[in-house]
Amino acid sequence: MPQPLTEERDMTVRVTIVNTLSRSSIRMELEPYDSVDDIVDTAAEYWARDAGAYVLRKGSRLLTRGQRIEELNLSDGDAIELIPDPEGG
Amino acid sequence: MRAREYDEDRFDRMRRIGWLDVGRLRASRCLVAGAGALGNEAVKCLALAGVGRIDVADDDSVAMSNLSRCALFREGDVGRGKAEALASRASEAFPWAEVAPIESRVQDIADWGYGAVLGCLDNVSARLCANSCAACAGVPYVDGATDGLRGKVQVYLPGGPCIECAMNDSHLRIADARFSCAGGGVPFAPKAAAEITTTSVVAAMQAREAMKILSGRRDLCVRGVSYYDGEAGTMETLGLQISRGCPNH
Repeated sequence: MPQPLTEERDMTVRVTIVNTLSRSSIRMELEPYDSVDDIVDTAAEYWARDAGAYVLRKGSRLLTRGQRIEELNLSDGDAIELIPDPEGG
Repeated sequence: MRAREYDEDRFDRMRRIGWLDVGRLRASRCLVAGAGALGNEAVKCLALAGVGRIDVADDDSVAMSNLSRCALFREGDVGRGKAEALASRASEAFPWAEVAPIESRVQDIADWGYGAVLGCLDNVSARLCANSCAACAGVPYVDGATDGLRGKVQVYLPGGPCIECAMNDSHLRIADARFSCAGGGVPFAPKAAAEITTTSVVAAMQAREAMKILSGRRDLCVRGVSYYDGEAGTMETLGLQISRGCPNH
C-alpha cells in the first residue's frame, strides 16, 4: 500500500538585516543551525564594518550568543537590526 | 520647620524622593572602575547624592585631551594618575564624601566587598573581568559605555543576565582593544569622537541605578540593556536573557 508523501518543510528563513547606522539593509537566508554569531559576522563583513563589537536586535530583545535560528522563532520577512555596541569610557 | 531649616540640610531634596534612602547611601561603599570621562561624571553624581565612600580604580594617567570631558580634572593634573587625581579633586569638591584612589587595573583588585560597582571602562577585557568578579562576589554591577553620540547602560544583579550574556564573538575579538578618551599609553585609536553630553547621560544613569541598589531598591533597577542615541534623542531598553553557556551562570 503506498504511503502518503511526507510534506517536506523548507527550514530556511529569509530575513532582512538592517544596519542601524546607515539604515541600509540586506536580505539573508538563514538555516536552522546558523547562530547569532554567524549573522553578526556575515553582516559586519558585508558592510565592511571596522573591527568592533555588534549586537543583534529582534523587536524589543537582544539576541544572545550561541542562540540558533531554530530557537529564535523567526519568520520569513522578519527584520533583525545590527547595532554597534559602544565600548568606550 | 521654616524654609530656612529645610535648606540647611544638604540632602533635603534627595530625601523627598520616595525610594531613595539617604541614610543607606551615606553608609554605602562603592567602586568606580575607571577614572576617565564616565568615571569623573559617575563620581560627581555619587558624591553629590551622598554616597559615603567611593573607591576609584585606574592605572592610566591624565592627558590634556581628557579635559574636555572630565569635569573634575584640571590642567595641573596632566601626567598624574587618573585615580589619584580624581580622588583628590573629588575630595576637594565634595568634602562630605570619602573618595579614595586605587591605582591599578580592575583586573588587579582583590577586594570586592562593595555595595555596588560601576564599570566606567574602555575595553571589553576589563568589562569581562569586572563583570566576572562582581558575579563571583555577588555584587551588583552597573556597566556604562559610550561611542560618540551613542551609549549604553546595563545593570547586572546577582541571579540575572550579566554583561557577558549580552556579548558575542565580535566582542571577544576586540577584547583587548581600548576605546579610550585618553592619549598617552593607549595603543588603540578611538572608534569615534567622544563627547561630554553622551558621557553625562550614561554616567548619570549608571549613578541612578547604583543609588537604587544602594537604597535597597533593586526591584526598581532597569532590566536589560539600555541604548542611548544622542543624535535621535532616544533611549530604549532591550530585553536580555541569560545566555546559554555564559560562564558566570
